[in-house]
Amino acid sequence: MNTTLSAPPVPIPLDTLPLGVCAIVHHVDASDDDMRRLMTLGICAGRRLELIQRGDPMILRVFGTRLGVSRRLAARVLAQVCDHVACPH
Amino acid sequence: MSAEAPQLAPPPSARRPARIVLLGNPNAGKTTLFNALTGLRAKTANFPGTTVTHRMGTIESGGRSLHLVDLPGMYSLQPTTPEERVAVEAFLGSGPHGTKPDVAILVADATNLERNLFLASQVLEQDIPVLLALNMIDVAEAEGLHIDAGGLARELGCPVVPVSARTGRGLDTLLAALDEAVQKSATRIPIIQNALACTACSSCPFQNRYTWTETVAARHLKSHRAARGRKTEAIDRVLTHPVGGMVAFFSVMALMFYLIFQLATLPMDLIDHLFVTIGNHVSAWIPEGDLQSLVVNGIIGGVGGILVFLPQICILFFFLALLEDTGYLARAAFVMDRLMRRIGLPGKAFVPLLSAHACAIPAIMATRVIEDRRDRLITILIAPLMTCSARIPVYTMVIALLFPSRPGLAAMTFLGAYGVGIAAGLLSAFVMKRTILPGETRALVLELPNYRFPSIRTSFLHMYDQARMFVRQAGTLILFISILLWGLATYPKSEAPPEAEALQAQAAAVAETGDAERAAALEAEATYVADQHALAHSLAGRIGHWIEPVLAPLGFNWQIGIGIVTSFAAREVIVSTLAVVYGVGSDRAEEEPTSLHDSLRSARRADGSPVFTTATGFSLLVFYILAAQCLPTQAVTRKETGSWKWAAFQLIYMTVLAYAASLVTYQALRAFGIS
Ligand SMILES: Nc1nc2c(ncn2[C@@H]2O[C@H](COP(=O)(O)OP(=O)(O)OP(=O)(O)O)[C@@H](O)[C@H]2O)c(=O)[nH]1
Repeated sequence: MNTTLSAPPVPIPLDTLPLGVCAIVHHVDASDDDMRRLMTLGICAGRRLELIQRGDPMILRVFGTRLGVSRRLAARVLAQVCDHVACPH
Repeated sequence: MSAEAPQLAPPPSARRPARIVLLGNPNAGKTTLFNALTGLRAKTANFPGTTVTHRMGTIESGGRSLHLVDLPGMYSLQPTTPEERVAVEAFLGSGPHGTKPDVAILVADATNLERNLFLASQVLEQDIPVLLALNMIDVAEAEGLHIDAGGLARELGCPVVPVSARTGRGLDTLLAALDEAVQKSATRIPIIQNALACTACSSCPFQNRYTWTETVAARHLKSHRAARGRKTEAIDRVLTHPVGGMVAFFSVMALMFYLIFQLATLPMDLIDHLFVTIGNHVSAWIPEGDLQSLVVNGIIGGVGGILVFLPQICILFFFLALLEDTGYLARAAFVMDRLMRRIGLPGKAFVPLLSAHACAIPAIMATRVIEDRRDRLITILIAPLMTCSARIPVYTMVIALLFPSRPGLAAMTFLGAYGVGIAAGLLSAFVMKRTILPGETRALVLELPNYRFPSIRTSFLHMYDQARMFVRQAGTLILFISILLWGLATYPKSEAPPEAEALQAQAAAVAETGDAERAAALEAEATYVADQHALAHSLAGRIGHWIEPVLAPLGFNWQIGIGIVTSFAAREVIVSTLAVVYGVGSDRAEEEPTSLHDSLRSARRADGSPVFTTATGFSLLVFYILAAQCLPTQAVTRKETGSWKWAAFQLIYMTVLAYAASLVTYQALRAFGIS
């Protein structure tokens, strides 16, 4: 999973992210309502996050706090594993 | 909320109290800070036209009255729940009758600066003077976080005061800064607008704001990050585990219910006793007659009947507040989400539905945490199907009639009754979700806050607020209904029957002989017979007769009909009504329940067949599991949903469900030859 290529990795749904790896949200494809809820809690394009517990719902670390997100919704968020940006976590 | 001259800023010395709002992220400590500032002089009120409550209080400081309002928590100025919307409107002064506050105190959790500064970035853009209270500074320092308050103040362009609402540290400084802000009523220079100007708008409108927030937080925060949240993570590995979390959840809830029922017995007995004592005293003051009966049986009895449940409700509120405060309730919603979604409800609906097993009213009030309107409505509608405390006396009576000498079967039936209530609720939710309230369940997005040691004081105040609301909402209505039902059971009056008079005469004769004990017994017998006669000929008795044809297919006679009529507002009343209808007397039935059971068991219909057959017993049990016999619940439903339509729907669907299920039960049992 962890590529060492210099090309930016392909965005993958959040629920398939490897555990404990920093990722950058690429884009969110959800209803306006859900999008807004995700956004106010810090899940929006360009934000860094990390998957810390799998399952349904799963736990993500976003913006300094832990968020529980149901898998159905997490599957609609695409993120790129970032291996070049230093993650604060 | 007085009208204010537009544009013209009032002079600083104006008599009008300054309006101060406290806002911030959920759990930032607004309420604790609010309580620390106002002491116990606060009161709870609704925002106009909504059920969203807030605390408000007035203090004197710097020679001016300050009117403080504690707003519900919010993550941003783009609301996603009804509570948030109200909070945002109150802050911006955009709601109905809203005016902008004179100063806003933004309460930020210092242990979580990034997330809290995000809200700050929006709040600081409004044309409202802001004071940033950097709360929980004690925890932050213990965690090794150092925040440069001065630097932050310069960057944000507003005063920043580190405080600890729990210990009281920094409150003086905060008040001084508040006075100054009120005096000056100067608007800040909007520094950050430039920083946030959308240069290269990406797909996320918040992107710049987040980046700004992160940069600012990083600049003023020196910490040993590694230490943060370690404990929380360790605890969560167990409490959010798919299996372990479920086990933990059910253990916590079982313990809570055990304690509710254990701890509440004594205060409940005391309250019961208190009302009986008051009733006796009042009987001594007021001469015998209608007025005495109205006050003692109608008012004191009716109000006491609902207030006995107050201890259970208080304990429930207290535990929920305590669990919320530790951060556990968020985990409960997290763990239950997957299970609840199967029937189309969010995880957050679980705790309200569980609370409904004590009483539906606090449960309905607790549904406010549910974001989606449809999800919340369904939860409100099905909550009264859960077996509440008021049903327990009815179950006890009916099950004792069904299985007098088989405790094992009796216990199973009791559990089964709970199960039927839950199953009916979940099934109703499932059906409503697919018919009248269709739509996908809101997917879970939930902050899991760091665990912390709960504050008894905060939980206690919370409980007090909720309990007051319960008494206000249920109390006023129950008073009215109690009087109405008393009237139905009392009028029109009828002459005492000859049997009662004969007994009376006999008692007098026995008293002559000196056998006071037997005379008293005969006297009591006479009263029971007279009461029975009076009830049977009252309006309630007539209604019982009228509805008998409707109830007959369920196996109920007119006497049970009276019981159903009189317990329409509060289920447990059927026990005392039946005691009167069958001439046992409600006082004796309470002292020795077997006297009621014996008399019910030996009761015969006109054709000589017994009244309480197995089929009738089960049918009555099913009816009481499902029927909506609690008008205060409908009143609260109306309040919370904002329309009588849903309250009426709740009443009707539950009644239809109860009728249909009882009908099927009775007819099926009879068809199988069980009667
Ligand atoms: N140690 C410490 N705990 C605090 C402080 N301020 C608040 N708390 C605790 O933080 C918890 C949450 O505080 P609340 O006042 O209920 O927070 P709130 O912002 O009103 O929360 P919501 O009403 O849910 O939005 C409580 O357990 C408080 O006791 C503080 O300065 N220090």
